[in-house]
Amino acid sequence: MSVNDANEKPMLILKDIHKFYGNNEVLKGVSLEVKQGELVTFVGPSGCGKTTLLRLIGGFTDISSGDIILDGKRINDLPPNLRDTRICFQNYALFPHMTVAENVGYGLKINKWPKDKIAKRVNELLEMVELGAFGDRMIDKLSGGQQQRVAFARALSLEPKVLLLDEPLSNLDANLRVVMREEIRKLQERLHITTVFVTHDQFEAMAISDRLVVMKNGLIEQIGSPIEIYEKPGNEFIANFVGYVNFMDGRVTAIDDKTRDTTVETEYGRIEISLEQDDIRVGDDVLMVIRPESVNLLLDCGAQRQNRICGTLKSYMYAGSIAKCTVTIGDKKMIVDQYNPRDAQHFKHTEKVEVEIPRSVHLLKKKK
Amino acid sequence: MFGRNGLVTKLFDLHWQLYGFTGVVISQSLAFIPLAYMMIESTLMSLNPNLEESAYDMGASEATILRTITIPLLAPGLLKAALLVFVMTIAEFGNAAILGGRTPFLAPDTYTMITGESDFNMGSVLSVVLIAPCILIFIIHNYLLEGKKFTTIGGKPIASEPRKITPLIKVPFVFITTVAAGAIFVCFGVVFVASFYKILGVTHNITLANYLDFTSNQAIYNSIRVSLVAAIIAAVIGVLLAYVIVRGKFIGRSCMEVVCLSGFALPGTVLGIGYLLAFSAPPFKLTGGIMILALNCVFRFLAVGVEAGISKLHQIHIEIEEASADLGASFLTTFYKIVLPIMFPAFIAGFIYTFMTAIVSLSAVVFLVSPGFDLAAVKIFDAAVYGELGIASATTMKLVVIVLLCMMILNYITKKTRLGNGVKKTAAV
Repeated sequence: MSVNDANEKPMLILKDIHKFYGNNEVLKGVSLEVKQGELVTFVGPSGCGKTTLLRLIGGFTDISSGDIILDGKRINDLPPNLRDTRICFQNYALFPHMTVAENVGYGLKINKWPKDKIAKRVNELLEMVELGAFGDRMIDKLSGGQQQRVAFARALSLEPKVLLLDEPLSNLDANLRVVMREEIRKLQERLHITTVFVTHDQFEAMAISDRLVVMKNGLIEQIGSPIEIYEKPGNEFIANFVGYVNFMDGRVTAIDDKTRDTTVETEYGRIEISLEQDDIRVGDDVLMVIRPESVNLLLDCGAQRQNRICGTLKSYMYAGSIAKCTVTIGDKKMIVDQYNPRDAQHFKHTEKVEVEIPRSVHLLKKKK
Repeated sequence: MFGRNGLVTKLFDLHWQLYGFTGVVISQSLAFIPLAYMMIESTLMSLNPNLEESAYDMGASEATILRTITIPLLAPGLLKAALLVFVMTIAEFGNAAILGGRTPFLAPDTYTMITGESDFNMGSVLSVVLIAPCILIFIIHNYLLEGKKFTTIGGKPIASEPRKITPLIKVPFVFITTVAAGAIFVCFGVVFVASFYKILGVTHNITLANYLDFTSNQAIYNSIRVSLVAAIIAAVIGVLLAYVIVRGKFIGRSCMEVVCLSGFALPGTVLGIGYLLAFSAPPFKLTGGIMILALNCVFRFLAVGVEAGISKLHQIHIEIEEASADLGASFLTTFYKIVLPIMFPAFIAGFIYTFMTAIVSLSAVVFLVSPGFDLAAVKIFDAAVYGELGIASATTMKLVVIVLLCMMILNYITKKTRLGNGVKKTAAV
């Protein structure tokens, strides 16, 4: 994808941003560069500061300290109407006393476009969001998804340098949400428009973004592509936030310098992995990050084979495409997701099982 | 202040006098500013701040936002407030009677017609004339504005952050509001000062005699009694009616709601005359006592208790009651154990509001008081008409203190129970 090209210049730079509400520091020094055409998502639990950060970029909230640089210009003190950023609010904030076309054309009218040009541009935008025939409708005659598109078209009308999306999908039902996020992503890539997206839904965030910015308590925990965040989370919080995770304690006993084959000794046996990170040394105490779907669940138990641990199957919940299993290993509980569960009948009547830990597990270095 | 011997009139040697059209316009405006304020405030509160922010984001300046977004969206609310003030002003009695001078006004003329000339027929005709605009406005409000309500899509509630406003808009706004607030404040101030003189500007000895005046205190005492009785009845009936209206399923339910709320819409003058005509002869001879005054207040202000109850009930999901029934409680037990405790704040709000409004209301009761059973509001009116400004002011001050106390209690309760909007809205309806 083009967005990772080295020659893409940063469109938006946040430099050490702090924000206080009274004595309450809601942003504690946030720095980030967003490249031209990139879709970056702020994700985190509620109260992590993601919406505040978005409002700061849009100019709706004053910044306490730090710099916001848009396309090379410092915009700290510009009011929203003079910033080249456009926001799409969670509740869409469509003007209820105007038609769809008037809503989309509002910004153009404010910026004194000639009438015929406004009409042409509005048509173009409405076609783009597949609402060509709806220009004369009033807002309350539209469905939620349609309103979402109008809000999106309105925000795009002035071709902003940065598009800000504040949980734009959270008012839609689950199916529509998936459809709309694909549409938004497609349009965003086609227009190559720099976009900052805010959501508390980690799956939505992973599905739509070039990069995720995981936030917690006013600080950035990790920045990375969805794959990096999911497979190589920086700490336990992130690992947990982007999906369920089993942790297992261990100690690194050997690392092969050439092949990077690594041995981790655990309470339940030796696990061999191929190390893909360079922050781990022999002798380190580590937490293994084991995703439920990466574990292989096997019926036979007893034969000593690599990376296999015996356990007891405590529950087996068959749900068609997936079976959710709970296995206890000693006093440790492990969740295993079995996709395409073919042997359901057997597992239903089995207690002794074996789990196979993949060689690809990520290691978190324990703080000493 | 601006009377024939008023402070300002003398100070500047004005030949212009407040009595007449201008005076009434000014005093009525000041009197209804708070009402309009409350209504417009509640409309503004319900306006999604994201709308203005969106316009701001699209490049609109403050003035443009105001012109293209805020005012169009507030229009129904503004219109409603204006219509309401219009109706209230037409029916308003005290200001017009005291300051009208030789200019005739509908409400006080109706009063003179009945009390002065005992011409009940002409009085009735005039009251019908008073009702007409009310009905008209009611229709306009219900049918024309109904379709113009703007619904906003829900989302996470966003605390509106104050924006920086350009001085161009800020300065004139602050100026106008300061003048209006100042005028209201000065009125209170002058009344306060006047209450310590026999006649302000004529006699110069500070005296407490006005506060000790026996008839005035007797009137206050009567007022409190009447208002208390009215408030208790109104609050009890209000809560019960609210329950029946919200939960009941019977024909004529909406009709009942309208009737309940109509007492509030009708001009007090009309209600007063109506009661006078209806209850002055057997079998319902009630005139000349506390009951007719109390009942009149009950039905004039019942709407508040009912509305407070309705808005509270709408917050209680019926499933709560069903859960209680499911656990084996009988209807009465549920009502007693679940509904009543939850509705208690509504009850208190209705009680205090009725008390507060009843104690200062003049237009209806002025027809119903009898010699020897004076009410405070009527006493103030009479004293002012006879030129006993000191006594009028002192009595006013006493009422102001009582009302302020009530408002403090009401505020405390609304803060505790978040019933605020419901009551405020009703207060404004």
